[in-house]
Amino acid sequence: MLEQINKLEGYFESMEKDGKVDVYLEDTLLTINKTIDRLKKLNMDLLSKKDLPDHLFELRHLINVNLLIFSSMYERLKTAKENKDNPIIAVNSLNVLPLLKESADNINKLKRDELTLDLAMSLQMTASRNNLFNLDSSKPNNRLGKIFGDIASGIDLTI
Amino acid sequence: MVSGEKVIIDASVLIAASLNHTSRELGGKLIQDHFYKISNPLFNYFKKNIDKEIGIVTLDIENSARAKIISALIRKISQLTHVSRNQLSTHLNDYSETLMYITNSLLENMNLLTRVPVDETEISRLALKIHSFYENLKIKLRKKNPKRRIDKRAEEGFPGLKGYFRQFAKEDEKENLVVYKKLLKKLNNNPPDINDCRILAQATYLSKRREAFIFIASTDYHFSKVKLDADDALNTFIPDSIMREFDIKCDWPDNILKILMKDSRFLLI
Repeated sequence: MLEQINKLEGYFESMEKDGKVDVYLEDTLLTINKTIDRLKKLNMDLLSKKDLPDHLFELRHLINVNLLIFSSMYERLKTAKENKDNPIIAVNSLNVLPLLKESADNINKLKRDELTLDLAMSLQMTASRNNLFNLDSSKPNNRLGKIFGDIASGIDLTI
Repeated sequence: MVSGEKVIIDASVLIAASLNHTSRELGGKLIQDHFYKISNPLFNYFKKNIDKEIGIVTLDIENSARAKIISALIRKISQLTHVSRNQLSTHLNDYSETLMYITNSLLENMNLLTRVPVDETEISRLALKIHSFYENLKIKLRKKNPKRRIDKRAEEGFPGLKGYFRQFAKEDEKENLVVYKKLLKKLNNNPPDINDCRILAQATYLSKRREAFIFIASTDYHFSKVKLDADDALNTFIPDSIMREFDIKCDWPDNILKILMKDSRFLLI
C-alpha cells in the first residue's frame, strides 16, 4: 500500500507542477482504486482472523478513515475538470499524503500503537481541512453510509 | 491588540459541545454529553459572531480535547449499553462511524475558535504561580475547618443545653463544613494537573497582554462552580478565588453566554 501511496505522491506532484490533472488522471484513478481494494481486503482479513487482535477497533477505524479519504479523493479527481478543482485536488491530496503514509505503515504491520486513534483523528481533521473528508448525514446514501454498507456486505466499493 | 470580551474554551466544554450524535450502531440512540445542552448554544453564538473572534483556544486545549473525546465517547457508550468499559473494548468495532461523526463535530467547533499564540517561557513561569495558587487554596480551606469553633460554642453553652448549642453552631457552619470537607477532599484526591495550571496560566497571560476581559468556559471544578452537597447548591469557592486573584471569570458555558448576550451589542442568538 505504501508503494501505491508513493506512486500517488509522484502523480500529484506532477499535477501540481503542470497546473493540471489531465496527463496523469487515468493512472491516478487506477492507483486510488487499487489502494481502496487493498484497504477493503485488509478490513475483511482483520475480521476473519481466528484470533482477533485486541487493537482491532483502532486499526479498523484507521482503515475506515483511509477508505473515506481515498474515495473522496477519487470522486474529486474524476470530476476535477468540470468542477474547476484542477489542480487544487492535487495540492489538497499532497497535504494529506504524509499522514496517509504514516497510517499505511500502521495498517500494513498491524502495528499495536496507542496513538493509532490519535493518528486516525489527525488524519480525519487534516483531510477535512483539505476538503477530502465529507460526512453528510443529511443526504441518503451518503458516502459514509455507502462505505460502511459496502464493507458489511462485501460489495465492490469502486465508484 | 484586541478588545472586548474573550472566552477561553476549556477542553471539557469543547468535548461537551461536540459529543452529540444519534448513533446508527446503537439503533438510533442519542449519544450526548451531560453538558451538551448548556455548551452548544455558546458555540452557536460564536458562529453568529464569527468576525468578533470571541471564542479562543490554545494548542494545549485542542490537544487535550482530542485526547479526551475518545474516552468520553467510550464512557457514554458504556452507560447506554450497560457494558463495562473494560468489556467494551471487544464491542467497540461497531462504533467507527460514530467516532468519525464526533471527530467531525469537534473539528467544526474548533473551527469557530481562534487559536492564540502564547510565549511558552512566560506560560511555564505563570503555571508555577498557578500551582502555588491552588496549594494556597488548600491552606485556606483547612482554615475553614469549623470543628474547633463548633466545640468552643458547645462548651460555652449553658449546662444541659450544650447539645443544642452544638447543633446551632453546626447549622451556622454548614457551608464551611461542606466546603472544608468535600472541596478539600476533591482537591486532595483530584488536584489540578499541569494542563489545568497551564490553562489558567494562559488566561492570565492573555488577560495581561490584551485589552480584553477574559472568561474561561469550563465545567471542570478546578475552574468553575461545583455541586458538593446533596442539594442543588453549587459551590463557587474556586471561581470566586480565581476572580479575586487573577480577574478572570470562570463559569459554565450557559452563564458565560448570558453575560455575553446581556453586554453584547452584537447579534443575539
